[in-house]
Amino acid sequence: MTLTAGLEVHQQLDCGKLFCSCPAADGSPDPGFSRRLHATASEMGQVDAAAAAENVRDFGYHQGDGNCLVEADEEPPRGPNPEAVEVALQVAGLLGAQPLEEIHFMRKVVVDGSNTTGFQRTALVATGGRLDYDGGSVDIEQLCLEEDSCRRGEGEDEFLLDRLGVPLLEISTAPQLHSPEAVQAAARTMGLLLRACRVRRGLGTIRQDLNVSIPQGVRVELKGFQDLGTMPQVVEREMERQAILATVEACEPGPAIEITALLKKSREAWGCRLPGWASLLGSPESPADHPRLGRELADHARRAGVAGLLQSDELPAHGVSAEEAAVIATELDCRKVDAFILVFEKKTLAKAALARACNRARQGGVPHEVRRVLAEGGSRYLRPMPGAARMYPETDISPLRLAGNAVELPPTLAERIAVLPLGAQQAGQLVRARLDARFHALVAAGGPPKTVARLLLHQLPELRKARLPAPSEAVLGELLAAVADGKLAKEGVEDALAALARGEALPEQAASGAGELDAFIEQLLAERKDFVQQRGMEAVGPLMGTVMGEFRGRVDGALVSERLRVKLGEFLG
Amino acid sequence: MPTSAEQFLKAHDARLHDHVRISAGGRSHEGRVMPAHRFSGDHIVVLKLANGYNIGVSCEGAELELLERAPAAPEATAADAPLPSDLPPLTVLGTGGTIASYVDYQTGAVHPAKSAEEIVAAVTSLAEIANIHAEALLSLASEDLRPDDWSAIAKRVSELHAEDGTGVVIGHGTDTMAYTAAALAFQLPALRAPVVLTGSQRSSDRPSSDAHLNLAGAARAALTDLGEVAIAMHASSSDDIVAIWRGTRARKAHSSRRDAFTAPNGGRLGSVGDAVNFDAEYRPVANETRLEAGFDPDVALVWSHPALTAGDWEAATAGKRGVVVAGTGLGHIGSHLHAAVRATARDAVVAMTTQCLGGSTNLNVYRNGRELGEAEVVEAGDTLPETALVKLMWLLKHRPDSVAAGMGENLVGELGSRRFLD
Repeated sequence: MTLTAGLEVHQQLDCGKLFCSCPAADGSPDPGFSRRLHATASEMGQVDAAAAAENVRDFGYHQGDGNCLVEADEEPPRGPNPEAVEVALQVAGLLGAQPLEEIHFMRKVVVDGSNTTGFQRTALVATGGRLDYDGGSVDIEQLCLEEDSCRRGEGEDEFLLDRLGVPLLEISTAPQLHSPEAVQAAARTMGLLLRACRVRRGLGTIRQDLNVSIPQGVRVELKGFQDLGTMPQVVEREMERQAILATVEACEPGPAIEITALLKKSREAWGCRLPGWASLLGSPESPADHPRLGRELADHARRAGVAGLLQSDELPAHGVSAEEAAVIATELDCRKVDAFILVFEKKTLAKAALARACNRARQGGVPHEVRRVLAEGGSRYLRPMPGAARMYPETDISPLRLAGNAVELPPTLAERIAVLPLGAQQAGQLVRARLDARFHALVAAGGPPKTVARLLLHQLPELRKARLPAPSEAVLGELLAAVADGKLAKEGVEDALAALARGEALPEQAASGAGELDAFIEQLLAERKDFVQQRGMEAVGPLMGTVMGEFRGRVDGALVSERLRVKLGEFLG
Repeated sequence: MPTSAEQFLKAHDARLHDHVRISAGGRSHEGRVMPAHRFSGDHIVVLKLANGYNIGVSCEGAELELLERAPAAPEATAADAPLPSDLPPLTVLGTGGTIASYVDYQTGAVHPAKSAEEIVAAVTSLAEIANIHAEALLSLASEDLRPDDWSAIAKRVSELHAEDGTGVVIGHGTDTMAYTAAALAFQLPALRAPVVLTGSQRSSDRPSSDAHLNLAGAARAALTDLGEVAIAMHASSSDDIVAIWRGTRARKAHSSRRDAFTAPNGGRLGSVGDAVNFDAEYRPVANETRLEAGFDPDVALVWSHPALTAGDWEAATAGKRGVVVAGTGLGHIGSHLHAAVRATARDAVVAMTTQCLGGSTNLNVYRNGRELGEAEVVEAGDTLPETALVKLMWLLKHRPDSVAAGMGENLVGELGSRRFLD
């Protein structure tokens, strides 16, 4: 089965928000305000399918420190944030994408509540370019700078404003990825490349969407991958799903008919015939390779605001008996090969829900749609594939000239790793933790590279973990200089940090270390005379432990070993 | 003078919305030609790409290939006449403003362009409230409205009331909505049916536009027996409740929030959720609408401040028939200006208001104030400075013999005798 996939990577930038002066701080669940959003036409006069599919309803928004009136859609945006534009241009440069002469922010209509405005501001910044990944390469189609949407709150249709407006780079590759592994490798490489720039780190700061199709299917957008590890599995599941559904023919559903009178329980119900769809709807007991179109239809019906629908493949169940199902089938004019769906609601809502489900049935097996990835690797219908009609100009922001706006490209992670005077593993750890700039500064201040690396990667994090205060950069410099000058053993750094955390001065024991060491060794050799004479030069090992026990942290182990050998040699004559 | 981008398009016979390919330096972009943006570079052609994005492409050294002519614009079809229903009739009068705004390609910003019919068609909930007759009277941003426009609106309202006696909702820009509301209140001292102004702080081409709730709230308020000119706008940031403000008492107190309007000295008449709820006394509708249209706009408004000089005062007030002072505190202006104020008050009516965000004037408390009182400065009490300005213009036109006395009287709810703790 041939896969054709294109990757869309969304990466948050680490430079404040795109259209206001807010920090990208975490929000609080303080109650805020409620809004209704209405689908509007683009400047070309069309209403987007995805926008039209959303019901007008109340959305709740919670606000906190990470938002101001701009996110509340109570003040016009400013900007765009020049730092975000710079990072976008850097990423474009790293990918070999060419910036446009002039960018125009657009309003991408999204009325699912995730944006208080009802649109997402986005600008196409650069086109072209290429990403080389382990095992292949893929063309870059476009790079957009946009504002991130709201985080979802606890309730349905509830949102937090903190993430709204965080600058987001959207990078789309051409549909040139042909295996689940290639998709994963490209996503991974893109992630590493982005980390060369000022990007946010942590959970949810980078998100991948995937456009997937197989020869028999159509392009489907998968959103919300939990992690890169599951990507190949999700892609395989989607390929299987499209292959199973590809053979399903569209049907022209019958009219919505009220069937309330046919049910023993008195509740209003409406139904529709689906010609030729008998046994295609399935149930939770259906085998894995079943189309399960019932679930798809229910997902569509729910968009109208109903809890779900009942369908002929799962009957008798949910209070509808086999006899009732047979009567309903007759009433709806069903033949043996036909299926039917039922909605238990009042007329207006029931008809709206049935209309949505029927619209899905008319699209046959694999509609052009956006699906949400599930934790178990499958996916569910999210919305129709939005099109160009959702875009119209953002009138509050003037066009921005990019021509002549040269930016300096940051070194890539690999380049930053290569310049570190350390082993590959330690160097990689430092760069990935974004500690390399600090490393360079401390080494420049005289710190021995390995000591500095250990300090940054292990000792300071340990201090943090123990909730002890970290010394200032100047004090760290002094401490490292003491190590470099031999005044403090590298083994003593930990104790010194602890002493500093306790508010004590930097220990100055090492100054007298050398003389004290020789004296201690001489006394030890005298005390252990018999043992030393018996073992000769081999006594170094066992004695080393004793000396180190006394001088650990004060005198470098290498020096102890050297002085011990010298003194032992002298002692043995 | 055409821009180089315009010349480039003309030279290649490319017109608006034509599908073209522009190539330069080994790079090409395909898209539809969009109107140039005023803030774009001179040599920038704006293209709409197939994916909906607009981009700016330089025409310098570029080649243009015409791929396809723009599709013919669909012929405008007459809007369907609203279905007759049992709902009460209502007129929506358009004057422009954000509520009627759409994208302006020349500046890229929004400007008033939508007709009243289009607004009504876009706000579907209106069709559930009333049988709407929509009419575009003006198409102006509210800061461009002049006193003559206030007269034109009052006259049209009066005509509409005379015709069928139905309520009128006026779509208006929010910047000077309170001025217009006050102007209508003085010109229409008796109303046969409600007159409710409304607008929006977010243009109606945005999914989050407040126009939906505001128009619906205004329409419901216009179906009551409210006999005073009112403003109906969001009560809070949420899309749930619309507040009804007395037209002579309202002020736009925030430059961008949905709940921009307030009434510093009281004047919230009620609110509209699913139903209209009045929580203050109001004048009910009369048997007929009375019209006293027109203003004498020869009035100055002077903001008192520590650096104000006698020269400033004279420059602002010379030759004026009336002056409204937005004084400090209880209605003060620096004592070094008293001689200049006294001189002006000999030939013109000088009315004192307070620039404080709430409260009334009282010229008896401080010596500074008493001197102003002795100088024949009349107190406008808790009348808002902008309302006092409109009132003074109206009095000069319609009550020329009793202007000073009129400024101290409550005519249409603009002046209160009592103020309360919240």
